Amino acid sequence: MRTIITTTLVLTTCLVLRPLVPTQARAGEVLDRYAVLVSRDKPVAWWRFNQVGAPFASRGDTQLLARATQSVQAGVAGPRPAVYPLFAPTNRSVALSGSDRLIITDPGDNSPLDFTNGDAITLEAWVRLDRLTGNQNIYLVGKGRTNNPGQASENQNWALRLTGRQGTARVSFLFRNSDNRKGVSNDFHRWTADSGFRPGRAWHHVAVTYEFGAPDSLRGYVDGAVVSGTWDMGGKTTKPPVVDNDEVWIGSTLGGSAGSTLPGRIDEVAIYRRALAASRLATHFEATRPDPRLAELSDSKLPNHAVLVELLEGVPAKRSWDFVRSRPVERWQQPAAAWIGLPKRYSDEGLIVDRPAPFLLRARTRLALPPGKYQFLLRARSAARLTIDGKLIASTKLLAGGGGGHQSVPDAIDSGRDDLVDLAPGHNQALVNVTLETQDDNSRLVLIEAIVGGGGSRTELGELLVGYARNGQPFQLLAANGTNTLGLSDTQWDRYVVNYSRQLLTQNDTRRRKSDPLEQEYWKRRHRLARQAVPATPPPALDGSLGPVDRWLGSEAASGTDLPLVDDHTFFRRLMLDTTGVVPTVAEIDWFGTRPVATRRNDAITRFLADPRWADHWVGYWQDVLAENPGILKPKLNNTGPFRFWIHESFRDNKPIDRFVTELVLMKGSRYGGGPAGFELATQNDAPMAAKAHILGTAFLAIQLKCARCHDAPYHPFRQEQLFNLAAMLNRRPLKLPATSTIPGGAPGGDSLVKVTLKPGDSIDPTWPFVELAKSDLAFGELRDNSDARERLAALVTSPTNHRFPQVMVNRIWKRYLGWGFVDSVDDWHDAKPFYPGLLDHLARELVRSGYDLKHVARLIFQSNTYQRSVHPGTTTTDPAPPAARPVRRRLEAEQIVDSLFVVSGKQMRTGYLTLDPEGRRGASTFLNLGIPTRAWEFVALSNERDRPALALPAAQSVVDVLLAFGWRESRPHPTTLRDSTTTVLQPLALANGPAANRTIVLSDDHVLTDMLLDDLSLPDIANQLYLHVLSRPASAEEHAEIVELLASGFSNRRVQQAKRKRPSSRRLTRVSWSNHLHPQATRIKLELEQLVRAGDLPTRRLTSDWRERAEDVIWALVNSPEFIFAP
Amino acid sequence: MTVPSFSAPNSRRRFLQQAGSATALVPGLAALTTAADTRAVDLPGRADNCILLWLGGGACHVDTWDPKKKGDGKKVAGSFYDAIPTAIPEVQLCEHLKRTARLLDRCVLLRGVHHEVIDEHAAATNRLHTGRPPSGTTIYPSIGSVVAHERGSASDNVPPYVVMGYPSASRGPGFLGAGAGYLYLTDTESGPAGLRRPPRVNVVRQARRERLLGKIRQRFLDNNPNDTRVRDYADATRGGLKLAGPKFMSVFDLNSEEDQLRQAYGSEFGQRCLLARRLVESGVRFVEVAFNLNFINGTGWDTHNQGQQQQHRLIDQLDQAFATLITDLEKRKRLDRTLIVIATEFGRPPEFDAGGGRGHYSKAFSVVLAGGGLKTGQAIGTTGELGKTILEHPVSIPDLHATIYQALKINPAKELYDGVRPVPITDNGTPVAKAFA
Repeated sequence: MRTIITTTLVLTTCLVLRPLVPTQARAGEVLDRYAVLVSRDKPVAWWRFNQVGAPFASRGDTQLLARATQSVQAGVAGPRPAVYPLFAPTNRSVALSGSDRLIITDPGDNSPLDFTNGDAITLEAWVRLDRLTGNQNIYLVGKGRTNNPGQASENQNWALRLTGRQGTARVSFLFRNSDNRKGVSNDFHRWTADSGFRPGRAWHHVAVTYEFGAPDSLRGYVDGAVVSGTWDMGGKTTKPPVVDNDEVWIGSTLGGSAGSTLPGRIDEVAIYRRALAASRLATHFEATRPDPRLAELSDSKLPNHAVLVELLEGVPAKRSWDFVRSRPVERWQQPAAAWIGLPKRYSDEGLIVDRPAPFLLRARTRLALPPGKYQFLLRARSAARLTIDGKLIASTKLLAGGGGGHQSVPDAIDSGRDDLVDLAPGHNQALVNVTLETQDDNSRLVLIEAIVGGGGSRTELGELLVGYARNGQPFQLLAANGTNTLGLSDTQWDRYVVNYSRQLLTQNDTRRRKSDPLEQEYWKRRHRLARQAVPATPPPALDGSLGPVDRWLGSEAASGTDLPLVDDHTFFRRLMLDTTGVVPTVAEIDWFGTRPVATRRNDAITRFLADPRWADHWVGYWQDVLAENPGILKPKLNNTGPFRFWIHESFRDNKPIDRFVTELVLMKGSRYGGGPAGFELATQNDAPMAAKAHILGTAFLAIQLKCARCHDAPYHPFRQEQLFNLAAMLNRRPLKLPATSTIPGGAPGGDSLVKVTLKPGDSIDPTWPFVELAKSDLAFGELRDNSDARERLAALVTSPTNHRFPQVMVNRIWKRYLGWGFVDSVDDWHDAKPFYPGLLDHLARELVRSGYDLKHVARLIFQSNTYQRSVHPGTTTTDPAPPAARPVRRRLEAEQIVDSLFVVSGKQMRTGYLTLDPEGRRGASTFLNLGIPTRAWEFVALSNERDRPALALPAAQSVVDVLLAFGWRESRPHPTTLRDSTTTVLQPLALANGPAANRTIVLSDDHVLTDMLLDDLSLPDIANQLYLHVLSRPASAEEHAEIVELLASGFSNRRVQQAKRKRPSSRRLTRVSWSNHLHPQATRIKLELEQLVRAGDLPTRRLTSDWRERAEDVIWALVNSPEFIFAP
Repeated sequence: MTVPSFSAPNSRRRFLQQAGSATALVPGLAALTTAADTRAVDLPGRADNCILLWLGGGACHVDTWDPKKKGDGKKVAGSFYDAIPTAIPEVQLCEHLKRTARLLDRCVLLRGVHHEVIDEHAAATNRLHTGRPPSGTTIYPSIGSVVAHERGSASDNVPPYVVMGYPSASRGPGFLGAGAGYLYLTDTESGPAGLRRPPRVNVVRQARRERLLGKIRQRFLDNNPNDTRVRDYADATRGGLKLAGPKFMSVFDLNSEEDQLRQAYGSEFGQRCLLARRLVESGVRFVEVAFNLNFINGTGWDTHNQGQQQQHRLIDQLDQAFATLITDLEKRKRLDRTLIVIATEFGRPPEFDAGGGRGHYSKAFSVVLAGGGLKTGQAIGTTGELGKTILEHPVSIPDLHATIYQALKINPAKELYDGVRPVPITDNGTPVAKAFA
């Protein structure tokens, strides 16, 4: 606060000085006020660094050249207005790192650079310090101690330095007395300031003045103000300094040691042969560094009925509030001051990218609050501040990174009141009493700031919220004027979280779709070229009422074309499962029933192709095919990043599939935050690009290179070299075969099927190995950067001249919806003779001509009679005859089963965050937080190889158990399309008795069927509703009778009048985090949680228990019927 | 009732038939298989069951099975405890294994086990369970899954493979598929996760549920005749409910054991060992029991820093449970047919860390085999003065796997099939011949 006031005063003074006209100017240089000020104080040498290249000539009394070492960056921005109004807008500086320095030769004996007893000196510089490590000594300018040959060691005549202390940079002055006894450290005399500034993007002015021989004469300055300090080495002395003809260096010393080199920028280095007065040095610094609190008071741009949220960069790495607030880089509005995460940032290619951490979240709103007594609540994971009308009300502490596992488990912070949800794990809060006084219109300016990321922790906001309670009334969220009051109780917060997550999804959609206009243009152009290259094939002229799929199958003599179509209910359930991945709700079935019979099926196809759940249903598929394999705890088992989020977004946007492939191959964006760069990762794999080449080969070209990983493939015509050619393309340069990617000697006896033609250490070139699929020369327009082997590879896979790719993709979709493929082994087309090649070719052309739009092909399939016929009861995989024109029996995928269970109950999954470090104290390369899942694809291996009860995630495990039973892979180190389809007893058991499925059965107050069963419905209606709800069809007469009989007794008295609805408790039992999981309390908490999960949801008390139990038994029987788990 | 075992009817046989037909179709594969089979080892395996006691975290060999001169817990490296004599002349154990020491003639100590994974528990655990480094082209099955796959369960309606511990991919069936998977439980009281009926469902309700399901299911089957997948699933449902029924669930009822015996087994880990014996008796082929009661010393077997101070309490519980398991099996005349394995992901160095605990060490550590018809009463392999180097008889992880397979009458030179791709059952492992009579 004090510094801010000082700054403001200085500002006022300077406004008075402004009319002064500069007197000294050099041709071509922009004049600024700083030049006037410094010139007046007559430096002996002064380097401004305004030229774009070295050497830099000094101004002032002496002309001295400063030579730069090779990697000094000249011409970078220096301090500039508006923040630093003394300078010209074009002011430049130099940036240093490593062993960079600027070197000035001493003109000789008694030069203006030599100082001894009786001489006064002023040294000054402007500096922007990027980072500071420990007690580092950073040289700004000094004479001697260069380690130059021929010079005495330690010959420091004088030096202005910055010394690291407790994370701050302190001004320091150093010289060596003329005794200069070898090894005697007290011959150094060092003065260090007691306070300093933190590294960051702000410029600081630093200076010292001293008269040699007069030990009390030393003064240090930061930003124009005197700072106190002490002679903390060698003490004060009247001894003279070492004087010789060694060089003056700017920015480093000791031969250019990295530790002494300034990591950052420097400008305006000046040396004076007199001690400038404090009043003079005060004028050398001026900054309009805004007090964020004061600045906001004058901000008239605040929206009226919203909270304005902005993200600002430039928080120093050490994370402090003391830095210049730059212009926000992102901005949005929301109704309330509560966050559970941030929208994603996208590159101009529409890919998720990481924000540079740490950064600042700033939120402001004007809020009408009547005068009175208030309690304010601020909750945050790390440092946050709440300010009202410029007054700091509350703050929270900075999150410490790391933590070994032995820390104690914090007590649950429970306010003791029902109106306040428990504090999230690892978060901290400030609860303060505030009296607001009466003021004009009672409009208060609320400012919230929070530091996100940094310090080795993951870049996650966590839960940030501001609440208040007036005069002891219930707590509510701080929300903008005119928005609804939002309470902070468990259930209200739960609802807020659900809504906020949904809004984030749509906010991300909007941001992403606006982020990449040039990219979209490029792909449109490519698709125009593709349409020119691939003409359409008209379907055979059969029955004109049939669509292309049926006409082609008819012309290719498929059997089964005379079979009838399934009824509407069957069709609708099938379509929903294939588009959204879940069974329909009763409301959706009702909608379907209201559509005109003639267009009903087409209407449904149109509606559900556009449903965003389309994306959810595709993620699990591509996770398998692309071997997405993130690990949430120190991943070391061939793990990738969580590029699931990129898959999800790609399908939400219906991204053209050629662009999808291209992005995957280029592997850009965020590695741990969900971008395709996560695909590049393969932990502890010594040939990661070979693994990726294998995945791409099976996924998009149906080339099976699995065996080629270690030897030439015995059953395929592929040599190991071809796999490594692809790998080298991904590697962008030749690859050496690792010793582990081979087998010894090609098997004994030499008659082995397995041949080894490469030796470890052989170098393999990045060349396209599959010229029979696509020629290696590409048409104009497909490549943007011909020199990039990855881009070439992507283009070769997706070029319209590559006929294999669209056919493989079409076959994948077809197999997914029909259960059989034109080529049944969708990822291995070796020696394949596709069934119905005419239709396959037609659909592949349709895919290309539609702009690689998967939904277009899906629509053609869904609209076909073939898709709409009854299923063949069995599989055709071993049948040599072409499959009939109808689907084969498909069991639902694991994800469809789990997601449908939650549709049936309407409940939330309530598994909590998928992370073992909910505190967010570890980096993303060792601990991931994959969020709170709402769909099955979001789950992940729970990684408790350590077998520690405290690391168990029982609620999530209960869902994972169901997924695993039905063939979901928790570990995906290699690509797969067809999962293990073995039927085991664990499958029905998971549904019959497992705790996750049991939640679908138990009629608690958050079960959608509980309300239905309490409605004024007749028993037959209830029977019908239950069948519709679980099996998407009305009950038959026999089924009606069964249920009516079972539920008749006690039906009329089933309601318990006085019983109240009870929302499930969301008490947080997850205070266990990695940092405390070895504490005994952590184990106890997790065992308690395990018990709770096993006990299941609390049944409603609004239905008599006897009748409710019978209703539950009906739901159980319906869910456990094979009809539920097979696609109709 | 047509479900013979854990997996659906004949699914394994069907799988093998498919693999067999692939062999016939692909020239050369048969030759490869034959060549491999000639490596079959001629050693007598006698065991029919295996109980793996898993000391997760990395149990320190010089503080348990391979005692050395004592260190001081600080600067001087060495064992943390005194050594005591055992039933095997000239073989010593740490003082906290006193019960086991008296029964050590029923054991084979492998003191030269080694691998090169040290930095991460999950990776080393994976190595011990699968016997191989992970690959980007397949998932290897765990040893339990291989045994389940090769030998199935010993009686109907019983799973072949049960884990008492947390589920993980390292324990999973890998390319062998779900039929070789495990049933798991995290505590002995409540039985297998998801197997036991929810607490609010009593016998009456269960009967009502099954009656109604029977009718609904039958109609669906009638409407979908000849649909083998639907029929398989219906069969599996019946089999599953039977598995969750009283017969198998009674195995988990430890109260039916005599109090004296339960007390003899000791702590929760001991109760797990007792349950393991009951599971084996019921026909389960392979049981893995995790000793993961970390709260005893704060860190479990991962004794960094302070975890070392209370390590003796872990050892004591292990000693009590293991010794009781040996005598119990012996009394019931099952020890010769039941192989007990005590394994861990790696050992720990003789040096102490700054907090008085120990880091990770994988270049030499110990694995114990007991019973199983082996030539017991010997320690195979010796390590140097401080247990850091192997002086004689190193045993690689593939060798360890081969030894266990051999003891369980599974050909350690056999090829498994990942689709059509032959995968040797171990990564070139050879059984430790000295362990066989």
